[in-house]
Amino acid sequence: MLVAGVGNPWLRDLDFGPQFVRRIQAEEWPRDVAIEDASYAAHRVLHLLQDLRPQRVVFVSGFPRGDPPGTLRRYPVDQDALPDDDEIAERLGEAAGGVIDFDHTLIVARHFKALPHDTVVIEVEAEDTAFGTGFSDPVEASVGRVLELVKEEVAR
Amino acid sequence: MCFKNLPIDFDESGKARLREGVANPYAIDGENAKAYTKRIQRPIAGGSVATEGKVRDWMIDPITRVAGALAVHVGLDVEKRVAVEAHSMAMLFRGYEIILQGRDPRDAIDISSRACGVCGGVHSAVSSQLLDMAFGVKPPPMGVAVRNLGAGAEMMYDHPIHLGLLAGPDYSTALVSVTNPEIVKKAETTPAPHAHVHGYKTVKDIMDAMNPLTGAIYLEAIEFTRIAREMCNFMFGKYPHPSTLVPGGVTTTLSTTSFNEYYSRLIKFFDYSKRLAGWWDDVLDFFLECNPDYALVGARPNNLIQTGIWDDPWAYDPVYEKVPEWGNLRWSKPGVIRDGELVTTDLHQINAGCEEFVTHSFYDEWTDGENAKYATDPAGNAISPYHYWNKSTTPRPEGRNFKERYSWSVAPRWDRTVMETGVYGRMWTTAAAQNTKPNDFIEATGDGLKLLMPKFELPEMELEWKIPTQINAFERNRGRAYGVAFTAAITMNMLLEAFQLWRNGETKASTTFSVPKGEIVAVGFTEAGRGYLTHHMTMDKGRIVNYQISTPSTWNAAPRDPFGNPGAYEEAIIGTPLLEKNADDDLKGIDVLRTIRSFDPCMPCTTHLDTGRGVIVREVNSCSCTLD
Repeated sequence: MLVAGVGNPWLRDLDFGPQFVRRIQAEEWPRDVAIEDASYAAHRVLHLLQDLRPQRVVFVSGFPRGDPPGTLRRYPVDQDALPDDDEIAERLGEAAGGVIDFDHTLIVARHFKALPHDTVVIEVEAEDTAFGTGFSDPVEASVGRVLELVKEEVAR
Repeated sequence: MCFKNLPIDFDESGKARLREGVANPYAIDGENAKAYTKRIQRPIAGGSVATEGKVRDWMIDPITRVAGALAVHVGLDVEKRVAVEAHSMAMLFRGYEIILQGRDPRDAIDISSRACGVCGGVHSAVSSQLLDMAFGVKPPPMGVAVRNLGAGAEMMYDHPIHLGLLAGPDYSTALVSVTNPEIVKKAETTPAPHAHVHGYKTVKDIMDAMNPLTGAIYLEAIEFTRIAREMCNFMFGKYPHPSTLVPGGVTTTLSTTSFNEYYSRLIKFFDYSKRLAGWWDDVLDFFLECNPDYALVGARPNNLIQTGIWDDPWAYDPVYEKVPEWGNLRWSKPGVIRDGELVTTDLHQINAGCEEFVTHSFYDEWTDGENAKYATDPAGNAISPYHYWNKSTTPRPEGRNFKERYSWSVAPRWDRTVMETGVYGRMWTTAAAQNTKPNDFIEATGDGLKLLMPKFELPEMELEWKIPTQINAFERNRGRAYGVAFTAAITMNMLLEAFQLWRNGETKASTTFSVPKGEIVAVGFTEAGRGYLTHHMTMDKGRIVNYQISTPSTWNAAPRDPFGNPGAYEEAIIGTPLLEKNADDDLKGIDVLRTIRSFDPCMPCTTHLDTGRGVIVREVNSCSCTLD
C-alpha cells in the first residue's frame, strides 16, 4: 500500500500533502505500507508506482474547493473515464516539461495502468495558499483527524 | 581577433581592451551600431519579399510540447507558403534574480535550482561552481568527478525526453498523416538504412514507433529517463534538485557501489545511443529525400555560443584568472562559432563579449551605455555596461506590442551578434577545437566527432557525427540524437577518472569553506541540456548584491535587440517554408512548430508568475521542487 502526499511546496496549505507525509514517517506503520512524497511530475510518479506496484493507494492533499477551511473530504478516484489519447499525450508532454499537476499524475498513471482500482484521495480544504511555510490554523487543526483517516484506510 | 562589432582589441598580454579613440564604444545608438544593425539576408523559399496583402497573422499560444510558457506570433505569406515574420514571447516572469538579492549566497544553490524541473541539476551545479570562485575554495578531484558524473546523467535524462516525447511526435505517423500523407505512403515502402541496428524494417515502422503514447520509441524514452534519473541520484542524492552540491565539492556519501550502480546503468545507454542515432538519421534523411526544402525549415546563420562542461578533476581551479586554462581542458569545449567557424574557445573572451538587452523585454533599462560599476572583469578584460555584472533586473510589464516590448526574456548577444546554443553546439565546438584528451571513446576530427559505443547487447559500433553545413531544425534534432552518444562517451571517460581516484584512495569529495565578507565578483560557467549556462554574482558583506542567470533558452528565445536583429527562434522561423499539404484555411503549422521544438525550449529557465497585472489563463507549478 502507498500513502502519498501531493501538493505544491512553499505554498502553505497547498503544501499539506508533502508536509503531512513527512510528519507521519515517524509513526509505526505495517511493513507493507510505503509513505512517500509524490509531489513531482506525472511520469516520475508513474515510475514510483511501477516500482512499488501497490494494491492500494491513498493520496493526501490540501486544496481549495469552496468548503469551510479545514473541511475534510474523502473520495475514490474515478477509474472509468479517461480523456482521449491526444489529451493524455499533451498532459504527459507538459509533465515532461516540468509541470506538476495532480490531474496529470492521475490521468497518466491510469493510462499506463499503474494506479490500482482501490485509490482514494483524502483532502483538506485549504485556506491560505500564499507563499510561505506552515499551515493556516484550520488546516493545522485537521492534521490529527487526517492521520486517523489514513490509519483507517491502512487498516481497511 | 574574435570581435567584429564591439571595438575590442587584445593587448600584448592577451587582455581585451577597448580600442582607443572610439567615443561611447558600448552606446546602442551610436555610429558603431549602424554596422551591425541588419535585416535578414537569407533568401526566402519561393521569393525574397512577402506577397502584398497575403500575410496572415498566426498566434500560437501556448506552444505545446515545450517546457514552460512560450507563445509565438508568426506572419505567414499564404501565397508563397512561407513564414515572413516572427516574434518569440516568453509568457511568464519568475523572478529568481530578484528573490536571490540580499540572501546568503549559499541559498543560491537550492533556490536557483528551482528555476527548472527538467534541468534543475545544472543550476545547482553552476551555482556551486560560482561559489567555489566566490569563496576561494577548490574542490578535491573526487568532488569534481562526482559533479561531472551527475551532470552526464542529467544530459542522458534530458535528451531522450525531448527526442521521445516532445520533438519525436512531429515526425510520427500519427501527425505526419495529417500534414503530409504522401510522405507516410512513401515511407511504407522505404527500407530503413539502419534496420540492422534498430530492427525497424521500413521508415514507416520507425514513424509508427514515434507515435505519442503508443509508439515503442516514445515509451522507451520514458523508461530511459528513469535509468538516467537513477544515475543522477547516485551522485546527487536526488534529482531534479540535487541535495549534495555544495561550495567546495559534494557531500554525497560515496562507496564502490555508487560507481558500480552508476556504471550498470550507463552501459544501457551505449546500445540506446546506437539505435537513437539510427532512427533519427533514417527518418530525417528520408524526409529530406522526399523534399529537399526541409533543409530550409528552421535554418538560420551558423552562429552558436557554448560555455563548455565536464572539468578535468585535477586541473579545475576556480580562480577567475585561471578560467581559460581549465575551460579548455573540459571534455566539451567552450567556444563561439561565427559563420560556421570557431573563433574562440577562451572563456574570458566569451564572457567579455556577452551583453543583455531589454529594449523589447518587460524590464527597465539600467544603463545609458556609458557608465558602469565594473569596467573590466577580475582579470582586466573590458566588459560592457550591458554585461551581467553590471545589470540589474527590474520588471516592467508595459508597452505590450511588438514595436515596444513583448517578452519576459531578455536579449543576450555576443559581440552584438545573435547566437543560438544547444547540445549540437557543444558537439560543434568540441569537434572544431580538436584538442580532446587522448581516450578510447571520442575523437574530434575537425569536421565532426567519432564516437565509439562499446559492446553491450549490440556489437561495438563507431558512430560519426558531422558538423552540418547549415544549422536547421533537422540538424538540431540529429545533433541531439547523436548527443546521447556524445554524452555517454564522455561519461564513460569521466567514470574511468572517478574509478582511478577511488582506487588511489583519493576519496575526499569536499573542502570546508567560509563565507567571505568583502566585495566579490564571481561567475560559474557550465552547460545545460540545451547549451550555454552562466550564473554571475556580486556580493558584499556576506550577502548577494546582484545575481544574474543566463540560460540556453534565454539566448534562443530572445526577442529583438536594440539593433533590430531578431532572436534565434525568430530568425529560424522567418523563411521557414510551409511544406504541409493542408489548404490555407486548414494549416497546422507543423513546419513552424518543428522549428521551435528543434531548439528544445526550456522556458522555466528563461523567465524569472505574473502577480496580477496580466491574465493568468492557467496556473501551473513548473518546477519539481521539494523542501528536501
